[in-house]
Amino acid sequence: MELSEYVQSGLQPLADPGCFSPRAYTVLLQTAFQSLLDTQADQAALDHPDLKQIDPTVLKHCHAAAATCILEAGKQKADKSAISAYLEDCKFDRERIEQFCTEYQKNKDTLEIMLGSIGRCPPHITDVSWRLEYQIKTNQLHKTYRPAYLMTLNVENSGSGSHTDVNFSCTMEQLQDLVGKLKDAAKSLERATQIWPLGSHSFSAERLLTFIVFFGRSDHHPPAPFSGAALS
Amino acid sequence: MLLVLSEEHKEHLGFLTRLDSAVAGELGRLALEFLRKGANAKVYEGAARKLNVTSDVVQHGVEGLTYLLTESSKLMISEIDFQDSVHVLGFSEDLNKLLLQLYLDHRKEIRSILGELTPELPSYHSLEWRLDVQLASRSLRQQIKPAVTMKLHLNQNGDQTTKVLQTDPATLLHLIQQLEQALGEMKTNHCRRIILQPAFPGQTHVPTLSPWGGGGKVVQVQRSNFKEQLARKLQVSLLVVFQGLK
Repeated sequence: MELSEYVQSGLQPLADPGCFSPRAYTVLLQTAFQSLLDTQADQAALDHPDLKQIDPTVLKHCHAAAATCILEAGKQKADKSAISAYLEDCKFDRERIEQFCTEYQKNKDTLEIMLGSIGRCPPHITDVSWRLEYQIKTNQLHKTYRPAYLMTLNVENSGSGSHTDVNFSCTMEQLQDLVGKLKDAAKSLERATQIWPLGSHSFSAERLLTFIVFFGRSDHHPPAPFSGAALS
Repeated sequence: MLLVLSEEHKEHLGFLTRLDSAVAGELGRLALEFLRKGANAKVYEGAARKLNVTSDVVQHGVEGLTYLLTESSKLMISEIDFQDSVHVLGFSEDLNKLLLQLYLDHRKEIRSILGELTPELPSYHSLEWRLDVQLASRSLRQQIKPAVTMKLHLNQNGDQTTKVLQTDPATLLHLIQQLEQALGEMKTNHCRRIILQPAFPGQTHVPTLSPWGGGGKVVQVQRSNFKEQLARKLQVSLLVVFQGLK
């Protein structure tokens, strides 16, 4: 891991028991993780009584440095040895390194989901609603007798979090076409994961759930439970 | 079901009694052109000069015919009902036959023109898809994030619009499952009882008449009566529901 001098100089006081008591170190570490992962993080977290003795300027600097270090480790998926080596260079003792790594391990998955959700992507379909109707007559035309499906794709926009649903109608034949194509896509997805084992993930429906849990966006409502039958 | 023609309408159509059938047929052609492309004042003026009448009279005649054809097609009245409806106009036998033929020949086309007037949502046209795996981003390296990117083509008022959307594998399976349920619903007894005729895209239910005489026609009339009965049943059950709500 490589971090700027500013971050390094912010981490050094954290290693110094004279500046940060063991208690203060624990509090600051937890605050740093919380401020990154908890969207409703307490703004006054640095006013904790255990941090009272520390100069506010130094405290802010250390907090920013710890947060940057956590983000960088998350971004690069750094393992324990990489993090340890870096903190050792910053003169952290064994105990504080261990504490940092334990806390990091605990929050690693949430951190990756948060980092993975940053960035642009096309509007994301989260669900579909349908309605089957039978058109009998209109003011222009009687005896139409036409069944039709009205579909609503629930869509989330990345970043803005706004919802603009897509509405359209289709006949039964058109719906069959749509479902056929989506099934093709699901089959290809299954085949693709057999050719390139995406990580160690084989592509069973069960595995899919892991995908969505692991790679899903944090702001993404989980879809309704499904059975794996569709892909068997 | 008989057409009820207003006095004004009868008066406008009365102009046709003064014409020989060839000219009346020409007017019928103009009525169809009117439906397809809208009014054409120049043609009416030309016809009026030849017939020695004002162009208003021709225009009224054409519009009267158009209205007769659209109302009959809208209500999908049977051959016999059409003849009975036209009978009150006191046209010659030839002209009656000509109008009936005009109605039967173009009913399908007129219904499809009328169908275009109904309010419609954007409708499905096609879907293209692509598999993506996101491998890295500025904020996170070494990812494996599979996604299905879709391009949805929709038709709206004759224009095609496209939407690019994305979804994840789990939601994709969920979508398939939901849509299969939607398709399955069509096969339930509940839906079959209401929906008798499988409909085809853009096609409205038009009974075809048998070319071998009356047999087929009678069947069709019965069938359409059956539909009317069914619609009435549906209305009654809806009424019960509404009363229940009150």
